[in-house]
Amino acid sequence: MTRYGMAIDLTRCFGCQTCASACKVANNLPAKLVFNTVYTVGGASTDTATGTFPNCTMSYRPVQCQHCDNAKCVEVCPTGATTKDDDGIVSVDSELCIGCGSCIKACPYNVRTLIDAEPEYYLDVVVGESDAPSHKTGTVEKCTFCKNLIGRDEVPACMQLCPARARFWGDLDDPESMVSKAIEGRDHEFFMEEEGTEPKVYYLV
Amino acid sequence: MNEEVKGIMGFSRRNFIKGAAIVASTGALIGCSSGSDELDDASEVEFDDGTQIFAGVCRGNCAGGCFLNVHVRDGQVVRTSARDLPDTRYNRICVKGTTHVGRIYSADRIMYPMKRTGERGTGQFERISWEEAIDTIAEKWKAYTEEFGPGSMAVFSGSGNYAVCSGVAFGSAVSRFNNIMGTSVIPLNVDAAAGRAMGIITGFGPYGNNNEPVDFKNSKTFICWGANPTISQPQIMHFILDAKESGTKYIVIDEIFNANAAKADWFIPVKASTDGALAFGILNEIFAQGWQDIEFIRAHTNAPLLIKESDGMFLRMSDLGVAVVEGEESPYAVWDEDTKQAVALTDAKKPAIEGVSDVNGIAVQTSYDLMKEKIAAYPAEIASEITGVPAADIKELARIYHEEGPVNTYTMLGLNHYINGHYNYWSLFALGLCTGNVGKPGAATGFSELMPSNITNFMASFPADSAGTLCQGAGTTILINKVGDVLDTGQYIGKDLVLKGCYVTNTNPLATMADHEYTVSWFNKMEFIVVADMCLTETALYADIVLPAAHWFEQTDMFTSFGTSPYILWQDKAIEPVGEAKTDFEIYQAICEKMGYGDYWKIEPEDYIAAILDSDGAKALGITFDQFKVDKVARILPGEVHLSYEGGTFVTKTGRAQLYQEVVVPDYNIGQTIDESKEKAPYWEPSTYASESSEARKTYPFHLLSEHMRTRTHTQWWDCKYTDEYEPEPVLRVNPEDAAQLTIAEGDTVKMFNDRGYVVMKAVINAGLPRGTVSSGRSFQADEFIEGHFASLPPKEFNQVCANQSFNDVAVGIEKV
Repeated sequence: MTRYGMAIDLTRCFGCQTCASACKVANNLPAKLVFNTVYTVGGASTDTATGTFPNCTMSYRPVQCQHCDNAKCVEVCPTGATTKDDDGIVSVDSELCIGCGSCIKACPYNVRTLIDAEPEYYLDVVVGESDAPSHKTGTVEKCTFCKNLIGRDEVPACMQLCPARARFWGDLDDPESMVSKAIEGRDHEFFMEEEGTEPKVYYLV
Repeated sequence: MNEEVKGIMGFSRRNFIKGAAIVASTGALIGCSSGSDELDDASEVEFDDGTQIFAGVCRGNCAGGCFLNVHVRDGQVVRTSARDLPDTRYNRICVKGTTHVGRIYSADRIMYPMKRTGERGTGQFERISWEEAIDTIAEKWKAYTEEFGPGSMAVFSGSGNYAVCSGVAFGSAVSRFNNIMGTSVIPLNVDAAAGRAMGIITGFGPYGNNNEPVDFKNSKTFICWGANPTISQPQIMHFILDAKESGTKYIVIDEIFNANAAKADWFIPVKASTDGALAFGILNEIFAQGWQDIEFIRAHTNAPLLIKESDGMFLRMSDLGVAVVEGEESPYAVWDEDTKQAVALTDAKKPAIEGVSDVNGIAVQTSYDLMKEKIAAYPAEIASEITGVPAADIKELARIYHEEGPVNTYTMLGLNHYINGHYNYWSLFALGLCTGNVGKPGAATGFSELMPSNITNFMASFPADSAGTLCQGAGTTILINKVGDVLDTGQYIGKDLVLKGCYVTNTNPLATMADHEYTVSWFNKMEFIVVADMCLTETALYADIVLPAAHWFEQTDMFTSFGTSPYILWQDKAIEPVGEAKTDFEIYQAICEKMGYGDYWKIEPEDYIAAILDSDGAKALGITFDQFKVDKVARILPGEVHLSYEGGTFVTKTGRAQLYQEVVVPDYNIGQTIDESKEKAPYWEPSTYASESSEARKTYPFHLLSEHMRTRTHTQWWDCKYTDEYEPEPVLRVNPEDAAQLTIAEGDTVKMFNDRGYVVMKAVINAGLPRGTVSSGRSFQADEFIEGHFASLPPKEFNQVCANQSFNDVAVGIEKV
């Protein structure tokens, strides 16, 4: 059984934002829609440290839909639009989604967005993959694990090339997969593990 | 972990084969040459939805040199992704490389030629035809040339594109244009301290003076000193992280704690531009402990050369009565410890490096002894006072250089942007040399960047016409901080030089050059300005004629210079230019033709690429144009893993690294007074403005560090909305205690000011800054500041021998607005 997941090595990530921007373009995301966010763990704003100079710390945490095995969004969706697919990807069917926002409240990761009005784009041209998500008004969207791309043997946009070589993906049930090998022998944590969501994004620490 | 596990994923081989089959079935497989006006038909992949993949290169002055897949559907770029390099460890892309669509289709893109209709800088333009644009330019240019000579027009080209046809790579076509037209040249005068130091001390190798990045893991200690690869060279960083994972100790020496310092095993904060004094302090301890690598110094540096007390020149065999062979220089003399006599350097069995004071009655001193004298003034305790680094840490660094090698001392331009910039590098390089940490696996000292002199035929930019008459050659190069004087006086260094106009390409100097007010003033004195650019930059607003330049993917070209992988790269013409844009190459051709020099430019881009590669160096590496065009990539570094100065052979006259130079050649000569005692041997003095002890800091108490940005290359990508998401506006970063003292809270509006100008922006509290230092990104344009201009704050003055922009030699006052 395929069970897609990711691993992100926090000891390597240096906050370059390439995963976020690659996602944005490949999925033709409108101006106000973001699937991947790279948070600075340190000061109050991006790329700032905490501590007392020179004894400072700063690190980064890229966050997207965690494709949880125990997904709160699936539980609360009143129309069955949000489901966990057979391959472990949590997806939203835009035909069934009514934009009620209950999944947004249920998800602890702040990775879901309601497209509440006709989306505005940065460009006059359409970019990204020809089968990128439709960004339908009145629906909720989030990271799709680029299932359009992996369906044709390509890789999720955020995984195509991480400059830090910090990102890994693949089938968690296949011990030979890139993600399984990356996790093997490494300490890891799950983001907000206490929420009981059983995420499939492993943060290597 | 293998490379696949490392997360390197180009398009899979299967997709390539599938794609190639589709393309072949439509009869369009790799084939005929493309002229400048045809799309390349070399897309190897065509997907079911019609998306084609072309080879592209991201090539601003960051300078990653990222090889990209350009995804094109219905004649439009839809996406960019990393493309496999022959050694996939070098695969690369970043936040900028992934967002080219935001530049190509930006609302700020210049769509057609325009002429100015309002005041300069106000952005009032009227659309004109290409014919009118070129006619106007040629008419003005001809009239100026007839009255004042060809040098009355200057070309100012920056660093916006490191390709050879439309860019500013080694031997690029803009030089050909200058040489044909006989123009004056306005250079950037940037990064010169680094270049000066490298040129004098070790000489330029094809990969700067560091080892190629796959060697980094061979270092036991990797010291990143005055560089921030997490921001400025992100494609270098994973090699450092790999080294760290395999046990290399990572030390970062920097003024501030940033994303790079956050990765360090040991972060050593150092006061601004005191790095040369720190290197002296470490060397002092090394000599005190006897930890220097005497045999490396003896064999691979000019330490044994004897400086005559009388004139500071090296002792030569002719000084000792040996006749000079006609047509040759008299050899350098050294004292041979084995034979106890003075002999020619090349004949010495064991040249003495210290303790020689007299040869045949001539008072001398070895280069090595003179350097040690300089270093003796910097015991760890003194160096500590200057640099802020505790003496114990300085001594520990000395121990590391001795015991924890091989050491790679990786430096870039952090030490460069100060008026004392080049003084920081000589002692730092001497540290690597005196500990033998150069030219070996894991051992290197210096800059990591591709400098492709070895494969570049520079004569490609110096053409003859069909009758065989060579072009006239470019005219005077005018220092950038003297352009205003030339416009005021009609003179340059005592000679007549009437300057009437300027053609600006691949640069945005109004936003980037130090002393913004000065740049504005000389732009306004210029009678006629042409700006060619992709987008309507702050500089373009000052143009009389604006020309729409093609984006990188809209033309065939070749990337060669300042990358951080060992490759030159091919650019397919992936799409037609947007609007009426033309390539810079075509524009030069059109102006040459209209000016009557068309016979010198009967050449297409592919011919020019072939001409550049027509070099002995390219031949020696087996690089041919035809094969390069097919492969789209060629390795230009010799050997399997390139080690700069492998075996201790340097690119200097003697093949030895220089600890002393007998003749001082300034970068520029305008009759300035030069104190040569500062320039012949390692020397250090504080920076002019940034130093804590400077006069300026008494009035303006903060040092302002201007930082590169993740999302822009200089000002490039200002026109891209995607990248604005991550760094939406300029911010001043300030230490929490300084902020409290100034009653500044996160998000407050603040003003930074000094004698030259001011700028207003939002404040951000950052514990990563030491007290007394503030920082800000340097890549914003005038209209992005709340008021004023960031480029107003740095000084335009030069060091006595080094013509350099000192972006970080800046003191500012700060107040809440």
